Amino acid sequence: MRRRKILVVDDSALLHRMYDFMLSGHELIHAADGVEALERIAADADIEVVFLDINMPRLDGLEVLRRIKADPKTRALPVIMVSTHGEEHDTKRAMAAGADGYVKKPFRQDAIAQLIGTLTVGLTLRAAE
Amino acid sequence: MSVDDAARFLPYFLDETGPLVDGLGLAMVALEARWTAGERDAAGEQRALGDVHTIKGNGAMMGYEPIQQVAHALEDLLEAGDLGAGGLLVRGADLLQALMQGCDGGALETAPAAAYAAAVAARLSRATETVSLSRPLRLSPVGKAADTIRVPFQRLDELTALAASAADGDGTAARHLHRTLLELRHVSLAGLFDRFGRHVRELARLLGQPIRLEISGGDATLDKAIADRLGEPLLHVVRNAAAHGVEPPADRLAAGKPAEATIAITAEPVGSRVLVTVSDDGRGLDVAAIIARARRLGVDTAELPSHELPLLVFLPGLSTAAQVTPLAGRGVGLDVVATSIGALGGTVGVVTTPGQGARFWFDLPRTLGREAPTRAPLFAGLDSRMMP
Repeated sequence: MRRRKILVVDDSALLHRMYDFMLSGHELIHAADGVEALERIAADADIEVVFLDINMPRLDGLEVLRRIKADPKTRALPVIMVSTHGEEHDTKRAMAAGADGYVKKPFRQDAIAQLIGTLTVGLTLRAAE
Repeated sequence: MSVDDAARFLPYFLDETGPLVDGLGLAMVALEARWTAGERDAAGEQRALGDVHTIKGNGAMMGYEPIQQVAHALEDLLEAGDLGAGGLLVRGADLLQALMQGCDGGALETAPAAAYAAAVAARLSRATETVSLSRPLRLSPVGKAADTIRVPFQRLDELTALAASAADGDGTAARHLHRTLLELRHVSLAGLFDRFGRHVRELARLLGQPIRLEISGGDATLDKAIADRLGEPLLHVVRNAAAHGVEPPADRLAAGKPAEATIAITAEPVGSRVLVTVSDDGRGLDVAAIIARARRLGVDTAELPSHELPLLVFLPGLSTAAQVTPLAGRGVGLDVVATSIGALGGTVGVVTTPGQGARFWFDLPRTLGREAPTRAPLFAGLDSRMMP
């Protein structure tokens, strides 16, 4: 699989280590909360996929998603919501708000690898048009 | 992620999640105190929710389902804000603590987590049942699953045999049966005393004052109905000792005492009664101030022997706290303690030595008797003549 630039957003340090391991073939950018996530997206137009934790302090995932999809410059950026058990309602709202997919903790390496593959095919096709 | 991979992340998991679980333990003790007093703590609940959420997610990623289960139940409790469920908050935090230790050792028990989640679900469904207006209220409580008592099977066996012979109409068997049933209701004070350890640690932290708690006699047993109602007055006295009795470390050192204060809780069975004591090595009661206040309230203190003067502190209106702090019960005075203990058929007392400390005691029956609890006199030496 081609090396991608992926933004991972979660307030848990453990998750960031796990992302490093699971996505070791890619270039990872780490954000510990929603505010930092938006800053990174604004500063780097080359980010290709975002993994976004739904429930975070300061600015939660749903709000970050809305801002990404509301901005024409970032609307096409694929965003995968990351939820835990019990957040089914929030996940539905995120999908209705334009999220491109979701995974639920615990998620496996092969599941997110597959997601990245599917999503970025879409990007490649769009870029070729 | 396979099990091997999870093992690779164990140190990071423990590093991040361990302190969160520790902090949660203290936070839940403090929150339970607030909830029991009838108050929410929005900021504290939000912080706790955030931490519990992280614990849940981390536990899930590691494949530790019991941790995810308990954390999820705690989230539900915190969001529901059912003020009577404070004890379940503390229980959940304790369970997480135990599960974290299990992670380190490599074995996670699933049964306690499932039982806890079930208890929380039962509690919350009961809570919503009484609050919801769209469904008819049931008149009898639904499944008091959490209010259970563990009985050795041998006792049940004895009971069954006794019940059989009681049916023969002999008074002796019926009396035996009654006595055995009464004793079945007995619980030990260990559980109650264990909770106090956490309370005192949290108090010490909030006060910025090192305090050590010594507990003895936790294996003393008494009727569950009494033990259940002993907690509140006992906690009040312990809080008083920590918040008012203990001097700042600098003052203690100047007086030749160790900087760390000691509060000791003991329970001593004395025949059919039990003596529960709370003593501290603090500054002692300000007896002169107590007497002055009592006189202002119209109590004739001249006739009291000197060793009974501190007992005035149990009269209504006698609180001498310069400010009412959340730690000392917000104006709920020792008179309520005395009334509560009296309602259980017990008496209260106190002795104090200025500069050295105070000792409060509750003298309680161990078994519910047939006589109605008395209101007066609640304490030896003072009778109703002296009540304002």
